Amino acid sequence: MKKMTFIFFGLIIILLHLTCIPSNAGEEAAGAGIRSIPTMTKMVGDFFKSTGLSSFIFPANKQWTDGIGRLIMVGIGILLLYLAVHRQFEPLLLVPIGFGAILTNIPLAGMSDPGGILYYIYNIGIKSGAFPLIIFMGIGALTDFGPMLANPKTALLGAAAQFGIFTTLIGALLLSKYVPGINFDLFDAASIGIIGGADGPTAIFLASRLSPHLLGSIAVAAYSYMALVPIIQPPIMRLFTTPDERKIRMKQMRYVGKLEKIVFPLSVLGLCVFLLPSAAPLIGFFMFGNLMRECGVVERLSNTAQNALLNIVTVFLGLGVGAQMSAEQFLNISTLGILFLGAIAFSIGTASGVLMAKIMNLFPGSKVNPLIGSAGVSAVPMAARVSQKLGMDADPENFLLMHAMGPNVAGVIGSAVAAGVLLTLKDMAG
Amino acid sequence: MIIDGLKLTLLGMAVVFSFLGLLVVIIHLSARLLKPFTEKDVTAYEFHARRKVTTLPPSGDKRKIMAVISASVSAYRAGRK
Repeated sequence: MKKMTFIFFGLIIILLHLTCIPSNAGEEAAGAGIRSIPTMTKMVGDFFKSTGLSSFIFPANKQWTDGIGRLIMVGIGILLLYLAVHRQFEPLLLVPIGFGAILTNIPLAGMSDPGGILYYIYNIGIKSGAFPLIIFMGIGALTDFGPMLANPKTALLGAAAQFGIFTTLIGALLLSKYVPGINFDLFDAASIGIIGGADGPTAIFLASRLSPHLLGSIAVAAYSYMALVPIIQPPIMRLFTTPDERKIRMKQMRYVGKLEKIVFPLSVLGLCVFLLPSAAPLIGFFMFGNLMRECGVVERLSNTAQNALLNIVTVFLGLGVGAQMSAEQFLNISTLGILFLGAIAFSIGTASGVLMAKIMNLFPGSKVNPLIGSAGVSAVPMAARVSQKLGMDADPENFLLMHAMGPNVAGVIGSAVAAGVLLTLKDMAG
Repeated sequence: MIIDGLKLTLLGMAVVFSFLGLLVVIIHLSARLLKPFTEKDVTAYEFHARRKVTTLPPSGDKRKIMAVISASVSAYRAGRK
């Protein structure tokens, strides 16, 4: 016991000695590049400066966005994780985005700075436009265009729902003009408007081309509102329809042949080639995925595109988007504006689809239940499920799901076409 | 800039409607052109569906199978007690 006490006090004396006297031991190791090790007090002080806690409280460049702002962003990352895990809001995307947001805001780690892993994920996958397109290919391999081919006029509902994109674009320009602190140019407004397309990969692709600095806010708004489709859409659908309209039964769909399904992706691509080559990346990859599914001779490739590849790219797309959620880019009034405009975009898109269905019913021919119009905003298959649910609320024996899938998949093509139109802005600007 | 936005809206909606409108026409045309192939598919589909129905056991057999399954389940439950 006496021996232990002696050793303990001895160690304390040595430690005190080290805190007061700079060591010369380093001189012997001059070859290794260290001349001397500082005093213990200085070493502890330097170590504290290299901790995250110190950087949150005393940021190196005295900017609040580099200090407490990062802490707030870590909180937002945790909030996204909570929404994904507990509330099941688009968990496949919000888990990687939320975690990416936490990683990118770790002070001094520099994960999104040149050389950091998130920097490479963003530049290789998102800035280049590769990840959204690969995801689009996977979605193409998952999509069955049968319901749209069986009742082609429902494709017009998918066109009408894109009105939300363009009205939101005007809304963004109006906000920019009348709200101090918000300065959206035409590129920014176009990128914000595409949230109304309710199509994550399209929104990320367009934002990465036109307004990379808004990418994080736009992706979060797009996926959050897509998750909120069952809450946002029903009141608007009820507002614009009468109980009798909600009870309209649509006639049984015809059988769609295999050859028709194979010819379809090639027809869409042909249209894209002649009308809108700027949409070719999105539509091309989408239709390539769909051709792999329908041709029936590359089942392995189709399965890979819709499962393994889609999952792998989703992980990195989410992390890359999360990497763009730095405090400096996210914690400003523009983000609030984007979240506000995103809600407007979804609402107008929903209303336009429903109203288009009502207009179509004014013409002779088979009647369309206006509830399927809201599915034109993409958000596959959530929007179609909402149509089905509201239809069954009005008439428990009315099954609208397959009818709603028509405008739903047409909405994906519609939002890709709208993105193609908005991409031509870049050519106009030179 | 708001005027630019309005112009873009007009152009954008016109292109989206033209694209999907033309697509509707193309779908109708291809459905008409490929009708013989679709009809062949329908015939093959119906043939397979009929075969499936005919290969199902007749209702008397079904009752026998149900009785065998029920007896097995009862025996298993009795054995566990």
